[in-house]
Amino acid sequence: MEVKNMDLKDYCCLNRNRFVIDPELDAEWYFGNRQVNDELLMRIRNDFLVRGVPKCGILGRFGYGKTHTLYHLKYLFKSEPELYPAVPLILRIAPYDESTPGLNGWKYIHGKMLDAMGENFIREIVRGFNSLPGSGTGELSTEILKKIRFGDENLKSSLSSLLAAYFLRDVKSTMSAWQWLKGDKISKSSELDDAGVKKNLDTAGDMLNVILNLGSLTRIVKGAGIVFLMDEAQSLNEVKKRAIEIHDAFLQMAEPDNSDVGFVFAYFGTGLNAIPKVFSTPDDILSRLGVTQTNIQVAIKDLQRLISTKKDMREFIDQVLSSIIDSEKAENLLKELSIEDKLKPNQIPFTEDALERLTQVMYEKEPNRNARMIIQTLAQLSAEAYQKGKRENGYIVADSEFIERFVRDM
Amino acid sequence: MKNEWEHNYVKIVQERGHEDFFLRFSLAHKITHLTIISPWITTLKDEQYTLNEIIKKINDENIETLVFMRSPFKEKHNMDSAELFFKCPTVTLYYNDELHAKVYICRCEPFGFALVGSANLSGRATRAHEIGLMIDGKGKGIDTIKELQNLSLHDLPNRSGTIKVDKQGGMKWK
Repeated sequence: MEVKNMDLKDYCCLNRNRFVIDPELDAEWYFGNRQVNDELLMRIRNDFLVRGVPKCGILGRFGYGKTHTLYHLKYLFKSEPELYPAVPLILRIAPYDESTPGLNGWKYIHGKMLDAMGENFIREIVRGFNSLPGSGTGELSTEILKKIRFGDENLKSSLSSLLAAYFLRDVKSTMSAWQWLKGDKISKSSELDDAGVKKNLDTAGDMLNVILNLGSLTRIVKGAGIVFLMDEAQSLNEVKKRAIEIHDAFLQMAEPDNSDVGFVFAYFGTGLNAIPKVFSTPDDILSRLGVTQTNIQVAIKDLQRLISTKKDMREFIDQVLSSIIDSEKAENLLKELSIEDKLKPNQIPFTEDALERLTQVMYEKEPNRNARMIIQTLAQLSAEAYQKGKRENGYIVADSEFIERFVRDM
Repeated sequence: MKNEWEHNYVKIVQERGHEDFFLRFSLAHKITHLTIISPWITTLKDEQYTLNEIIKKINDENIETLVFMRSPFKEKHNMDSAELFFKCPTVTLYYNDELHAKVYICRCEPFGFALVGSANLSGRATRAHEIGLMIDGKGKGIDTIKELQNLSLHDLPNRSGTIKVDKQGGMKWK
């Protein structure tokens, strides 16, 4: 094939259309220093043993791979349930804003948690519960009531009735049920009255108790807890007026008597002072995670160390390239173009000296030592080589001389 | 074209004073040495990088650090920061009341970087009109950083008016 007729995918022998790593689609991969990943997974596995569910966090600057880490955890939880017995649910806390109605307070976070669960999940739990041996003998709502323990009697009874009335059968709209679950103020609803709902969710505590009770039911039905993987949690730095209710809700989640609903937060920032005050002060939440202000890194892992040495950076580059290059296709292309002596199939279109130079240049400046910068630079250089190749209708190898023009200002 | 990257070892810093330096410091790996030369140093409360965070990293990574500042007994704004430095075992603290230079040097993997400019290590400096030069440890920047470090190691401590703070004796009013 003539180079002028190639697209970038052919030119770089990509196994995808663009030079990109997608946190969700590529969740299976985890690049960078293994030690960081190992420490995080060790903490999570220990949390399953000690706390029933993970209760921890990660932090890092933009581009360090926080979102990818959360999706990778989701992938692991789904693919290795015997090691990670929890249902992973991803949500994004941002944008929290106390000046915008509907974007603040625990109700806002609670709504995100329920949306992350979704109707299908709640139906699956309710129907699963209904199918359990022994639960078919009585009223479903009564059976649920016997098994849930968080909140006052009216709350437990209302939740049990609502779940049984709306989520077992597919016969009526769940709109009212969702409004109630999300804590909307419902003045009078004959539909909910008929279903046996006695009270609204008045406080953050009520809302959290609903989540904790759903966690308990999930444990009964699936033999696993729930873990909320909360991205962009630095948004909680915006919590001002609602600090007391939000701190208290997280405290309840951190309490040892909750062993069914866990969380892994991802915060933007460097240094452990990046953790939002609503979470870290007072340190009663931290103490329930088994840490203090001085050893907080035991529970909150810093992703900065994913790429901290020059070796880490070079390994990261190699891992990215080998993950997105179809090496068989690359071998064939190199043969076809008779440039096997210039390029290795798993590095196409980069020469070894170009990758060494790129590593040197990017490693020199600390803010460049992160996944996003490295991937974007590789993508940019690949595109430059491709565009030049197309213009000249010849394969342009990205060697150290070629990349020099692009890296001079880095 | 070749080695143009090495030639671009200096960049002008016109915004955020010392913030870029301490961002790089916070991300730097295998730091062997930090020098802070600034007549006025505050605790940087409410700044992106507080003095407590900087000192935590110095402590956690056992970074040999030299600090040159004006005496807190003459400049009251320096009192809180001097106390923090004083308590940090790897910090060697010097006072010089004639000091006017503002230089920050970090030696780390692969070589290090330095900031020379007008910004004091204070919160105001991140918002005021300051200008500085960020020097990267590449090309001729390597020699420049070495020279700057030599100034802090051998020249400044021996300048008239420089007093090494005796950490055994405690912070005393003179």
